[in-house]
Amino acid sequence: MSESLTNDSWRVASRLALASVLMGALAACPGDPKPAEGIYAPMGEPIPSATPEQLETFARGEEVATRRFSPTDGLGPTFNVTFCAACHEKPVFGGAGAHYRDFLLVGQTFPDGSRVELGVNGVLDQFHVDGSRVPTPEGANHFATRNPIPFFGVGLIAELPDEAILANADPADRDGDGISGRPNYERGFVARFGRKSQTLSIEGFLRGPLFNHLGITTDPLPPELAAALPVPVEVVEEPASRGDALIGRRSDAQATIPPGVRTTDDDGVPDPELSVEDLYDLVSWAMLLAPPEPDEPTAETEAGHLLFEEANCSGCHVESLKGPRGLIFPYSDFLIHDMGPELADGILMLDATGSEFRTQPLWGVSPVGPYLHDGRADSLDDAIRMHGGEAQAAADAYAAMSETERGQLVAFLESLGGADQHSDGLLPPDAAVPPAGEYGGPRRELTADEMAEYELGRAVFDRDFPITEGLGPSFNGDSCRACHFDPIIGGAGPSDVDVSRHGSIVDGVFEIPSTGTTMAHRHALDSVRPAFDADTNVTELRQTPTTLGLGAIDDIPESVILANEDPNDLDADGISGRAHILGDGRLGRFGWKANVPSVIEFVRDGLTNEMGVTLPPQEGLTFGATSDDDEWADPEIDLASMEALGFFIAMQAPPPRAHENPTMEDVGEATFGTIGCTDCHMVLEDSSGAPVPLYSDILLHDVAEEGAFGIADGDAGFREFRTAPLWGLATSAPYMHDGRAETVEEAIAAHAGEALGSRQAYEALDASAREALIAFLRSL
Amino acid sequence: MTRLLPVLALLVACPPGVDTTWDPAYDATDTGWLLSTWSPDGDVRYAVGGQPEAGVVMSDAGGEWAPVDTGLDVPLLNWVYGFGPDDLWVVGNGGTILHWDGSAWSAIESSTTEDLWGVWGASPSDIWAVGGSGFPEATATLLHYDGAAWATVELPTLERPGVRALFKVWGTGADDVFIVGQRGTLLRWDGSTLREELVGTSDDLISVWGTGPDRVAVVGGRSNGVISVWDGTEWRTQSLSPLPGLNGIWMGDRDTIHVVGIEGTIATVDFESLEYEEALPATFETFHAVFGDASRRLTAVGGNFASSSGEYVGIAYERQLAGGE
Repeated sequence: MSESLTNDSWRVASRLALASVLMGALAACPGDPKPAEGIYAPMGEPIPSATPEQLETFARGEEVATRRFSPTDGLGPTFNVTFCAACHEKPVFGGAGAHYRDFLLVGQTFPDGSRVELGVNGVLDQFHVDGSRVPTPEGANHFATRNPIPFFGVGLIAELPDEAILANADPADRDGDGISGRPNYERGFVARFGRKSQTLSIEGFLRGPLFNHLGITTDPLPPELAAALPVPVEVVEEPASRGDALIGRRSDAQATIPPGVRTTDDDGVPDPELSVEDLYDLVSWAMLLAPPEPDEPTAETEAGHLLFEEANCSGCHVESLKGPRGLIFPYSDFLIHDMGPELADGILMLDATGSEFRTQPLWGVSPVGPYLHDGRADSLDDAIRMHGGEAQAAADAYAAMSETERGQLVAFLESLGGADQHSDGLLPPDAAVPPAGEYGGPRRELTADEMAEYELGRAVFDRDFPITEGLGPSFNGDSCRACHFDPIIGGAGPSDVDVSRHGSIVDGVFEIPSTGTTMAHRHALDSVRPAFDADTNVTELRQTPTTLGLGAIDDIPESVILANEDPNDLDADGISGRAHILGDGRLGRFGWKANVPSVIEFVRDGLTNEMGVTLPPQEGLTFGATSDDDEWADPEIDLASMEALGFFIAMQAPPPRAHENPTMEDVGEATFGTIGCTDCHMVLEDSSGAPVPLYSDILLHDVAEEGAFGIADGDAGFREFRTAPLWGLATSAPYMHDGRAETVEEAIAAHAGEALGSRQAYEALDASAREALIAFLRSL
Repeated sequence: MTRLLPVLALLVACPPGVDTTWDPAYDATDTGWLLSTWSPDGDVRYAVGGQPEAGVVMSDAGGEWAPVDTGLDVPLLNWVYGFGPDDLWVVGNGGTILHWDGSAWSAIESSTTEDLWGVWGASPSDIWAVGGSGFPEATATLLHYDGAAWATVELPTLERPGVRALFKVWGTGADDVFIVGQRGTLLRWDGSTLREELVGTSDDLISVWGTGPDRVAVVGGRSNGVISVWDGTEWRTQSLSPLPGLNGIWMGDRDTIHVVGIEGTIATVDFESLEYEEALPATFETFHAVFGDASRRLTAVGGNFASSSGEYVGIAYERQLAGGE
């Protein structure tokens, strides 16, 4: 062999040498390589080969993945989400994300074809910790949508030698099949993670999003921890041969923010904001997530498998690759392919052009939709049909099949693991309804018919609404659950699902934007962020309150609410609550401005204004829209689904109380009354006289700090807010209308205006009295 | 702990009679990082680097590499260039500029606190220095020395956004200067005007060298190697992957581009075809600079820039230049 090799020849040759070192034992076996054993588990569970120590790490890592970060933990200064699993939750943690977790890439393209990433390493974050929406960077002229990607099996992919991937490369299409996959390299190694195979290492694939989407800074794993990962990084300090040298090189290739480089920010929280120990656990967790086991073949799926081969889907979705454990079956070549102009997004990542994408693995594909890089396909059928470029022939072949054959092919894909975990939303299949009165359960015992309606409504609440049924054209969430999931489906939402409101205040008067709504959606289906109205001079975030117990609030007689009004503060207690009487005379009860009069109107409002779904008309109901300008026929939801949804929401039990220290809570409750909190946060009664312990008068109060500006809604001024119900307080952080308070203590401190006296009284309490009061509040 | 990588006898294309084996120039383990090397005449070589808070100037006068006592307390030193044994310029972090006049080292007021990454001059009274950190709070910095003082040169409004650092400067003369930097930035000075040129990449362009107005090459890329060449008429830009990212470049021959980079990368690139020949790695550390001197020695220096160990380890390798290189 020549000692001087040209271009990539020695690197490829070297990888072949490494592959032979790593897989020597397998290569020596007679016959075909055997499938790797002990690698499958239900999605979300660790690979069966994990050691007891690794299992402990896995559990710790999942805690890190689901840990909610707040500004005091280092969240921000800008962010999209508050925890890793926010985007990787479907069907379980570690998985994919629905449309509401799509995010935008932002950049500036130039006449020479180059593109500069803007935002945070190319990511356009939604939120700033100061409560504002992150503006689109100056000069941005190019956007692309990304849908979150699942992690199941990534450790096995990481184990693949470069050679196993390179073996399928055919960049010049020498075999003439129209498929010319090529590797994307990172620092000389075959990258394999990400929509464009732009990332080599799992550590890099986690450190990047931690910084870009959460603003959480990290240090690279030190060598001793990197070497202890489930897919170990071998640190060879004294290479003695080419093979060892390559192992050493791989060790250097583990982090993509380039190795040795810390991520830092200026949010005032010391860096790193995630310890290397936590990062190690998080990386280990991801590496240990098992792929799901394929189903036993059936006649239908075997027929589909043949069709899959005949259509040459397997030209890119290569069935198996040879790793150190034997064959694994990801149905991907991990190469990048030109997918044609329709899918092209113009994003350049390393060597990947704007139309090149990695072949997405198909193991476990069933429950991780939507599909394709931007989630444009809600079904596998759509996804296949949308293939273009090198995959156009396969897509055409699929389209030419009979309906039965297409069904067989899709059935085959769905058989590649995880179908038993498929859900239309996040509720596991056949999820039981909790007992009455508990979180997630109804507020009373239900008849069988009522329970069926409750379950149907819950499914509608949870279901990810497909694009092809009318989601959008712009939206905040693609399901009710998208925003209401803390601590269970139906609950509140963290700050990463906050809603932006916009408008203008001129001479002290609030003006609704010319769009006719103060809502400024987070998402649009055409890879742009819905813009604020041009005249906007005030914006405000709105935190997602719980829907638990709304039916109980609906049942409170108007007279009970109105009885507590004192708009002119005739009793001179400094509190002047007033009801929000809507333009049509109805009493507003729901929403931060008490601007919605009933549960069913709340349903209509949410479906249209949060999801962009058009509704069938219902006599006497005025909220929501019956038409929009997308291409889908109106109404986009049927009446039965809406009514079931309304029944579910109305029938949900209020958050149950949780007593940890009843004695202290009793003391706190008494103090809560004596310092005047109950003047607004009060227990009301329903029509039977039974107490409704929501701790709200459902009236509007001015509790804003001096000089505050915000968004008005109807008759509710921009400084006025409905007294927030306090039930479920412990599980519904953050607090206040814009989520500005991370803790109950901060929420109390944020009270002003009519609540100033009570706040000052709280602040004057001794520590034990304050502790008792907080204990009471957290018990609600 | 001293860590000396064993030497691999690694060769590039070997014309008869010239030993082009890369060997350690010296054991730079304890020197700190080495970011640049240069020689005024082929007799003495200089290398600069150190640690963030402690810059180092090394020289191999007499065949033995040894620290140069500058008598100055300086931070990391990033680049060295000169006009002869008695006229040497070194730039470094925090706006550091050092000058050797043949008898003494002196720290020169730079008018900036930005890190300075490159220095080059057409003459002793026409010198450019560039810098910036690349981080949001930094400013892409261009300085000029007119023989009396350094002054900041205002940059034109760049088309490329967020450019916070310029990394290297080189030219063929006073009216033909090339400046490269972050996000694919390339600036040219024609003696009167500084203008930005788009060369077809947004990768960081880290270093520039050439042999004449129609033979200029630029390398960069933090992950994969990127090269842009100027033939007097147009720029051609190409990814060199799987060759990793490139930091250093030197040309002595109009057709051969010597490049070094991350992952211990050392290679030569043909100017016309942009095909490369890579030497098998002698180290996994990062090379930052390469320079060929009048004695036809090719020297490559770098360090463990990718390490999070907190140690600052330097590397220095050398080989003979063959004919046609």
